[in-house]
Amino acid sequence: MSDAQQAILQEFLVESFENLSSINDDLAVFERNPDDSELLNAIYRKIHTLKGSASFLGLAKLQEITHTVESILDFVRDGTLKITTDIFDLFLESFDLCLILLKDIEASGSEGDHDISSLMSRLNKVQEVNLIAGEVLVKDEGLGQVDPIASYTQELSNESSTESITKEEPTQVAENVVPLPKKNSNEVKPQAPAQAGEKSAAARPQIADSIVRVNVNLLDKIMNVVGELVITRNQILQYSKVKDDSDLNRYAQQLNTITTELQTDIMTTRMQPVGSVFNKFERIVRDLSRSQGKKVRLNIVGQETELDKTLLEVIKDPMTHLIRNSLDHGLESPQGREAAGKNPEGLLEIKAYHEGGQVIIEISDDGAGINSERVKAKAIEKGILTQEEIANYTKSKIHSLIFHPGFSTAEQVTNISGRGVGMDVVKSNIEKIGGEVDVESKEGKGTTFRLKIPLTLAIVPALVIESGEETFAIHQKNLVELVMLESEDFHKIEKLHGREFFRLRGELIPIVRLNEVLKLDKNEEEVYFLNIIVLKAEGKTYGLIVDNILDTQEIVVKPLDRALKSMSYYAGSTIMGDGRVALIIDAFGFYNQVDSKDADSSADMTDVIQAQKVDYDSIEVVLFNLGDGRTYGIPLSLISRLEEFDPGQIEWAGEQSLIRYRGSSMPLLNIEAILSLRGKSRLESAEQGKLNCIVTAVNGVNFGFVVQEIIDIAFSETALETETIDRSGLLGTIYINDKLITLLDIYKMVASTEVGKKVFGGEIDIRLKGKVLVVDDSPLYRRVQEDMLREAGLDVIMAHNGEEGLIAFKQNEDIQAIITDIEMPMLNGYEFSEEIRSINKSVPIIAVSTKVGDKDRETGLSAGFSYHLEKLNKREVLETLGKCLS
Amino acid sequence: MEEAVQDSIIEAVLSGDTSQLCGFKIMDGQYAIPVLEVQEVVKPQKVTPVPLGPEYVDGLINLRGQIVTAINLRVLFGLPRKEDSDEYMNIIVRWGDSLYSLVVDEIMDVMDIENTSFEDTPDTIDENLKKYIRGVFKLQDNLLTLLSLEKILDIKVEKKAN
Repeated sequence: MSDAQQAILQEFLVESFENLSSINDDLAVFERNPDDSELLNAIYRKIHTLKGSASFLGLAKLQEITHTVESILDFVRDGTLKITTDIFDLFLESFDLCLILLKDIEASGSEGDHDISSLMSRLNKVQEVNLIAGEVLVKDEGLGQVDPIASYTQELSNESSTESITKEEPTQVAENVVPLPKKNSNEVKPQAPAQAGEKSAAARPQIADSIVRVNVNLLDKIMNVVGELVITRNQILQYSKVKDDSDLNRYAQQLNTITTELQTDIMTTRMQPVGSVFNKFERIVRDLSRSQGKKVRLNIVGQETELDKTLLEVIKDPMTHLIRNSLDHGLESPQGREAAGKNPEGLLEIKAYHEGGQVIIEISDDGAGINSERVKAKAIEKGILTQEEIANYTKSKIHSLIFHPGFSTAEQVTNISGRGVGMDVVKSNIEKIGGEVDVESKEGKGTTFRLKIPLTLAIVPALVIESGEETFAIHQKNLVELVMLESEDFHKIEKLHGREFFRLRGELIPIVRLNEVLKLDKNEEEVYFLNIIVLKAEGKTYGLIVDNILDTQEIVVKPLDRALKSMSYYAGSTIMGDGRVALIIDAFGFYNQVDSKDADSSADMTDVIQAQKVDYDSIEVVLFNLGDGRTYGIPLSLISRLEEFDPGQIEWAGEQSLIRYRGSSMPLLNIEAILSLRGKSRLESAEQGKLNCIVTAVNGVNFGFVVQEIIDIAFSETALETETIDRSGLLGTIYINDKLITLLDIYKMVASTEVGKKVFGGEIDIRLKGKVLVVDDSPLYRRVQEDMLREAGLDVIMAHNGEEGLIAFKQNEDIQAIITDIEMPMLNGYEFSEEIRSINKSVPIIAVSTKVGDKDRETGLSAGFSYHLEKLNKREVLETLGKCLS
Repeated sequence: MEEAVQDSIIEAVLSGDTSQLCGFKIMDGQYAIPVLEVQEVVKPQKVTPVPLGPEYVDGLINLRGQIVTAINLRVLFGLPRKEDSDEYMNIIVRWGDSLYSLVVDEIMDVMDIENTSFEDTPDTIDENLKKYIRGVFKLQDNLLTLLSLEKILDIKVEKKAN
């Protein structure tokens, strides 16, 4: 049995022992006051719980007994059955047997092989009579004539002497007492139950003793009192410092230690790893997938993430619902999956992690995804939205309609989901605790539900800072590093478009001053150093200038009230050691607020950054030396191969050197000559040895760039600076490992040669008119494409990602064609295309990517691409555009 | 659900014969809320301001480990702030999951007032105030304005949305 199952079982046992003992007490009271319907209900509820847990854990006997007892109690509640002493006895006997079963479960993990048939037959009799007659005369059925205890004992002994011998024990007997003749095993047998009995008797108090159930409200109360204690402690500490009394000091220090310990302990009592809830899902998933004939692999990640106990309780049901939903509607049958080309075994993943001051729980499946069309149709049918309203909805907005009250797309209400508990309940339950739910789905690919749960009482490590006389805390996970700038380095904060930036090891990061943004009192004194806190939140890095950095501390996050919560600057508040309240700055929300404010003013911060910075993790550069001894680079994505040639193989056609390469002659280009650089090309030098050559394909024709020496392949770390180029054929400069590298523009270079002009051939002849939207996240490609399209006579609008592209498209009605990259942040090319198609069916969308496979083409077409071309094939792109625009 | 319950406190009080109210003063006006809605009254506390927050939010208070949002009723009602800023009282109320402090000038006694003197919001009342009140008790010498917590504490969300 796995630890997880063991934990569930332990919990079940604790609960059931408790329930059973109170049922016994309740029954006794009820026998004296048979009119107390409240008490009857209480008993009924407890039995119901017991039955539920038993069936959940697959404890058949317990379930059978409790189920029948429950049914009989039903008649009592209806008033169709008057409870008699005999029935009471029967009940008590049932619960005694339950207790014995539970003890066995505790001792051995299974129900053992007690025979419950005698009890069941009597219970059933009571039930049947009621079912048939609706009213009962128990006495006449002769129930009372059987002495229940006697019969039970009899059953027990019967069973131990016969059944169990043949079933379980033989193995044990065989192993431990092999030499015993078969005959003797009858004598060995009866001891076994007795041993088991002793064992369980010894085991039970263990559970009962080691666990005390405490009401969370009580913990809350204790927590508050401890809070007050902390404040008092601080006052005493302060007083003791003033007093300068060594005894007082010592006691104060002791008080200090003890209080801190107490505080931590109390706080930890409320925190539980989410795993305690997650583990329960394993069973649910297993059972549900079985009953549905689906194959599902459950993957649980981040079980150790801690969450307040109360919150855990609250999210349990919504999560169960979402998981059921995924199993029921999301994942397809194995046959269906195979037909769709997927692994017949579906994947259900539950993930928990901290992010942005919240605990995020993701439930994702790789199933069929949400069918937007069906959601749309349903929304219209249910009158939630009109046709016109829905026309403007984006995919994600349509998907979120499933949270609308009274919305269920299940065509068939199965017993798993769709039982009136809809997604709207999930949403409202999560929102009640200040959380959020959203859904992300791709048709055919799967669905992800994301629950954002506030930390509430969660304890997080935080950096405590001071600005404008106020104290603030910042979640430590957003903290990248602390930078202290001395006054002689203040110039390192540069101004661009009215915004401040700081060059942190070559990377330009925006700088925000906390005092200015929050309009705090400015420190008028002259400062000799600046504290920059470098923060990273959801992919954005920036520096925050604060007056003082105080300390790191474990803080308890307390949510702000509803109105203040909508201020995304703050993630909550916390109480500092001295009892004062401090606001927690939400690194992500704060930046977004600042950024969006700037967007209103003339300079858009993101734009400035993007203009300054190539996505340095996206551009790999091949570095090489040329004749002038300097290092140059060509983006790796533009290069087909790196080759070495024997100088003896070079042939000359007039001024042009050629080499036989892959069955045709490839022009070798003299970079030094093309760019009029100092130094000689290897082509011209008399040096011996192989020629290093970078092979690229331009419009399908190979060109070899002859270089001195290939050095390395490296990632560019900084912005591509284009102001530095002094001649055609250069793209700009970047820094790699603090070295300045000049990037070459291979197209310009090829185009400037005679042989290149031929290759580009009629390229100049393609003259186009119209407005084109280019969506690409790479500044390099944006530039290349912009140049190319403008040269062809087109009006070009540039967008940095799908989201911007979408906005640009909506703002410019005269856009006649769209050229989009595929791999982009925020909204990728496919998603972008889907969004465009949802508002405009006809505008040609030309997707360009560095390599195009058949599968990509397929995905692209279904996402709404009109064409899918290779990125660097200028001719093809222009010709296709020509077709689209004519 | 909790709010629905709370909401009904004021109506339940008004539906009886007499209302037990917690009275307080803001400038020269007398106001009240049902005493059942009041958790406690505390003296001025150390307040942590919320930069960029709504103007009527004075800040946050630590009340025995719980965070309380202090709402300055003077500012909310469009009245001038108090000059001697140390002389005020916090009326602590719970609304939904949050605790709030209504910052008022002075606390009066708990009063039992006949509901016969109650009147729904008169039309003549100041517009700034009108949106926060439930009605008025006409006392012998003066008027006692009954505030609606629901309106005071919910209006903030609306305002924010604008």
